[in-house]
Amino acid sequence: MGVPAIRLEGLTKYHGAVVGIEDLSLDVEPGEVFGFLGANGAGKTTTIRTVLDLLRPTRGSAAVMGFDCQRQSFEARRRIGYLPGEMPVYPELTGAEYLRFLAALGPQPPATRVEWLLRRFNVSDLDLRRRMRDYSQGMKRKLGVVQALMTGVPVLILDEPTSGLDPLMIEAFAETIHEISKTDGTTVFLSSHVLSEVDRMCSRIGIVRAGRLVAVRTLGELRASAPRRVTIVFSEPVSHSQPLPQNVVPVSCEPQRWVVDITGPLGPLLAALASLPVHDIGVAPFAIEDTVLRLYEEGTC
Amino acid sequence: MLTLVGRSFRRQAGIFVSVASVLIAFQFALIAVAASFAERREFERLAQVVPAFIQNALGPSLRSFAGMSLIGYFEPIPVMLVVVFMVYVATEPAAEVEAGLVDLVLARPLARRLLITRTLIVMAITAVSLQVFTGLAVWLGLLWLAPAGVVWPRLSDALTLMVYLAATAWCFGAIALAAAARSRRRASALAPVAIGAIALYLLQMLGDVWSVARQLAVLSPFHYFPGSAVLNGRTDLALNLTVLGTASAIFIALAYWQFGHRDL
Repeated sequence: MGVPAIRLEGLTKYHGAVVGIEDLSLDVEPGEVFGFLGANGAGKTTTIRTVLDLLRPTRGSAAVMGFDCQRQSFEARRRIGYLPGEMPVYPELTGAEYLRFLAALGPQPPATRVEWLLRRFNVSDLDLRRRMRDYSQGMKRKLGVVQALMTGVPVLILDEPTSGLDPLMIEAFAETIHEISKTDGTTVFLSSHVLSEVDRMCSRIGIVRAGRLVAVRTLGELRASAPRRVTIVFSEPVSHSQPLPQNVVPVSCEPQRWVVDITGPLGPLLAALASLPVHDIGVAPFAIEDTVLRLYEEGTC
Repeated sequence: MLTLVGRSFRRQAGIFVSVASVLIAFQFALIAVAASFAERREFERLAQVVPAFIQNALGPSLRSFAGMSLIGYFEPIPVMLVVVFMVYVATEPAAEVEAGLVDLVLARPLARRLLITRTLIVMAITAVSLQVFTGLAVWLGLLWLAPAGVVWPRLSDALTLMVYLAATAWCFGAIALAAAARSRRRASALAPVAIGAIALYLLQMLGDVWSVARQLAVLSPFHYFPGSAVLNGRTDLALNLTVLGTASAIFIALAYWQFGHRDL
């Protein structure tokens, strides 16, 4: 395994007596789309702003592509594209001037990439000629996404990227993230509390609660560990004393309808049902919300 | 750096034009008044009716056309306008933290110190350009309004007053920059320094007439800006500029240190 795109080691930040984040350790691999989940005030933005060297850690360290975010901050930030959670704008600038200003601060974006992103996010020339004070929240957000993605740097750090975007733009955003992580190998670290988006875009998630990282899982692991609800309908009444596999927990057992929760593969349950007059089986789809909420409540890593 | 400086100027262009316009208009008005006094030969009468302590404070500025033409460089209102505008310019780093713009700018590969250096460059250009504009206004005003035969102010006096005003404003700018470098909101840096500047001006004025205030007035940057004394040729320019420059350097160093070590 090479150098992680992002490495946090015991990262801790106190704001006076208040814990911002505490003892956060995490590796995000190159090309990975990592979702950083947590409730408001859990420490997502504090983590991101510490990686960007806007906050100085109380202890611990963060590194981007092997460059320490405090001691080699300049080198680290050369490799980061950042979208803040709340989009700051210069109201007197037009959209085009805003992008030109940020591009001039470096790294220089290729013109073709900017045009591609503007098309992808449906930002017209007319929009770019308007002053930002006249922009809607969604429009500001779109410009924010464009400025974060336009430089083609290897690491993107996006704080609540879809907040304020309409469903069409969320779709465009998800497609873009998928595309650049696959084709350019860009690492994406995105914070969110919209679980369905994380489910769709991320290959792995970290859950932060009260400043502490309580779980890090791949989506595959989450799916495997998530209990799914299975409803079995029988063509005639059956006895509920039938032995069930260990990975199955009965929820309700009526003579002709059982509802059970199953964790892991369905095979043992199907084998147990083989001798019974099964009329129909319904398996509820995997719901990341339930799993994440369970992990969040359990608070175990 | 040019990008940051240009952006900063564009943000403040409106206020800069307003301040420069007021100062230019004030200079024209002063010369018009001075011309009117000169034509009616009223300077002698003015010297008789103005109380001694005011004459002390304003020096020969009320006794001649040349003196009155330059009063705009040390009269309280234009001086405070220049000083408070410089304080405003110097507090831009705090404004950027407040608006979250610092996140956007410093997420890019820029050193934090660049924002302080940028502000210093903007302060320097602002201080110099305000003096240039007002200097041009005085010159044009004299060309246009001065009655024939009156003695114009000496160029050396005008330049000395410009240097003093720029240095004093710069010193308050440096204090404001140090305050802004540790503030999260512009108002919390701007308000105390601007109010402090007014208080220190009053302290210096009191120092002219009250011995207790005179002892404290050495702490005021205005103490090292003896405006009316310039017209009498009785100032130690090198000493005063050294004091103002040293104080500015200390506050600028403090600003760099604080901004470099703080959470943004």
